[in-house]
Amino acid sequence: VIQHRNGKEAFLHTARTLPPEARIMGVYLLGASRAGKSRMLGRHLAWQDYIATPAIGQVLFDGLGVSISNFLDKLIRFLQYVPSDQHERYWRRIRYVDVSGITGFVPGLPLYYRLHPEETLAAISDRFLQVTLRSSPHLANAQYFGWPPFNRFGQNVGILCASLGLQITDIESLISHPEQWLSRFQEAEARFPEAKPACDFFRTEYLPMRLADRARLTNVFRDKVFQFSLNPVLARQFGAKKPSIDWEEVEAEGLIVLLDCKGETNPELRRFKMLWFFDYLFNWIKFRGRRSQPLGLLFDEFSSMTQKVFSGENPFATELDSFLMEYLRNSNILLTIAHQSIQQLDEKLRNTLLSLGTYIFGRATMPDARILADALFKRDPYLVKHWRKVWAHDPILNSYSGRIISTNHFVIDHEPEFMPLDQQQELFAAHLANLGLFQFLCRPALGEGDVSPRVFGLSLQHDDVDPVTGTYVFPDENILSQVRPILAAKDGIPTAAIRKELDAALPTNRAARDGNAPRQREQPPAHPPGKSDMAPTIPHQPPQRRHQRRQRIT
Amino acid sequence: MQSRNQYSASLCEFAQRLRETADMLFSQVTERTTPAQFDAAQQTLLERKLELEAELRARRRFHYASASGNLHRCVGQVYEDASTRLRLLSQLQQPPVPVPPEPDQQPPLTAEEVVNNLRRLAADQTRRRDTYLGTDDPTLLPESER
Repeated sequence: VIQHRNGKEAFLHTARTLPPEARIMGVYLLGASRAGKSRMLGRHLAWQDYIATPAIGQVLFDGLGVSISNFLDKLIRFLQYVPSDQHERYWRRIRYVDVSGITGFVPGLPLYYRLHPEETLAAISDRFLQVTLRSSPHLANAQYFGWPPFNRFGQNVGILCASLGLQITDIESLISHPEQWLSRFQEAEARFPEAKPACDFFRTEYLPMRLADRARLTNVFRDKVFQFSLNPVLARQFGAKKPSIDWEEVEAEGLIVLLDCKGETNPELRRFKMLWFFDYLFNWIKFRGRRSQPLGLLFDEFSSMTQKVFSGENPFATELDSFLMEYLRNSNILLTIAHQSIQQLDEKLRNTLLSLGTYIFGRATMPDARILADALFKRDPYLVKHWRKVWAHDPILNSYSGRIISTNHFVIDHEPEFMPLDQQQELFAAHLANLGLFQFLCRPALGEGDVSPRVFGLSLQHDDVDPVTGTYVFPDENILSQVRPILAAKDGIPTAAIRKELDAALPTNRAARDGNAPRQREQPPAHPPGKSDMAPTIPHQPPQRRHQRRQRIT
Repeated sequence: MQSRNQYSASLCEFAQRLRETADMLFSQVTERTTPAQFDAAQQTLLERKLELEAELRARRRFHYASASGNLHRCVGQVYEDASTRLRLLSQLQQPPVPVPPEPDQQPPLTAEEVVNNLRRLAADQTRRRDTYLGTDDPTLLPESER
């Protein structure tokens, strides 16, 4: 619902719509907290696509769950007027994902999964590494304890896991006791010959390494994966064999996938999980190719998916850039990105988002408003601030003596005084900063590659008002706290089921991790901690040699 | 007695009085004006026009279209202009502000009923707890494995 002003600083009730060609250019929705952007996202954009005919498949990424609350609230209020026997067709099109898993029903987020039969093991392995790099971009700048060892070890581990059908939760014992995996290396090579280089890496490089060298190589990787094994909920999410969401089904049946991060309080985990979902979706879109059926993609609290990068490239911005440039139009994606402040993003990501076609900006703080005003309004070097009078004068003569007794001043012309460009920006910024509740300024895209030179006012003030009391309708959290667990149970996998899978996948290693492993024949000699950094079993290095060297050092 | 309007045509005394009434009505029009209020304004304008025309008829011999030496715009034209303007304004107010329903016009279902309905549907729709290893649903297992 896009509206314009009537000239008296009031919004008219004329509804406007964005044509599909304009939506393909993306919508950038930005507003301070409580400006109404989640309301617009949940109650308008997502809702209108949900009830559209034919139905449009959608994915709503929500960092805080507010848009999802608005969407579900709108749906519940709508269903109050729909006969009970027809509710099923509406609920059936909802796929609710409790990203935190606190309801006991978790989404499957495997890090190693095959999306396409022709995918190589290296491609499968690389996904987790890239998602981690996007989530922690500082890794790229740390050469010694950063990306190079993480990438080198992670690639080989990933290939091995992918070839054996294992997950990230199963590799703790590979890092600590690679000698127990010799038979699995053979199995991996037998299944997938392309896994041979990874197996060779473990056999010929990793196994003979000293403990300190192993630690140097694996430290970053362990830092990133240890929580997947320690936290039982994460272990069940990332230990699942298959992703929970089938994008083909979402598109074919016009489902809306609600990715709710409301319960995920750890910002790093939230970022990682959201990036994982985005990566999973993006990879599917790459394989999906060109289609006429649109797919809605909405992000609320987009900034929770990224971190500012001040030096070097932001890998997520690069990924998003490629998504916008290469796939948005070709794959018919209706993208909407919303967040609170432009200053939450680094410059590269900021420029990427400002390349979207339609801007909808709500109230902003003055520093934000100055940046946004620059993008929203076109500054005019010939804008007249003031018409200055040009004065002339004539002497008034005494008719008797001929002497000048006074002067007659009069205006002979007006000359323009142009408004400086920075003052124009300040004026536009003040306009943005003074917007009220549920008021926005919109610069719509008109079609493919064509954006409007005009800025319209847009208001949600008259929508979703209680018909009896006349007050605004807000999500009823009491009702929603009942609805969320029901939906999570309907669409999630119970943790018990995943636990069973995990136990069956690698029983010995899990037992070893729990301290119940059978005693191995080749146990490393018990060294006092800190005295030795030798690998437990190294065939070509006899114990006597080690002993002699230690004596020499002491 | 007579004034000039934007079209440089004169208004007679009666037309001027109707114009003042119309201006007062327009000043009251806001974005929240309802269709019923627009109808009432139209009615007021019509009544005022009829009043003035009655008065004008009573003074017929002293009222000519060329009272000021030029053809002037009289009550009929001013009424037509104002009425058209009101009608256009009422059309621009679309969609009308929703009229609060009567207290007995509540939604047929309460939110709790919708949630209960969902609870029942979810129990039917919940996917079988099957994993790659099989299912947790004992009714689907062969008897030997139960």
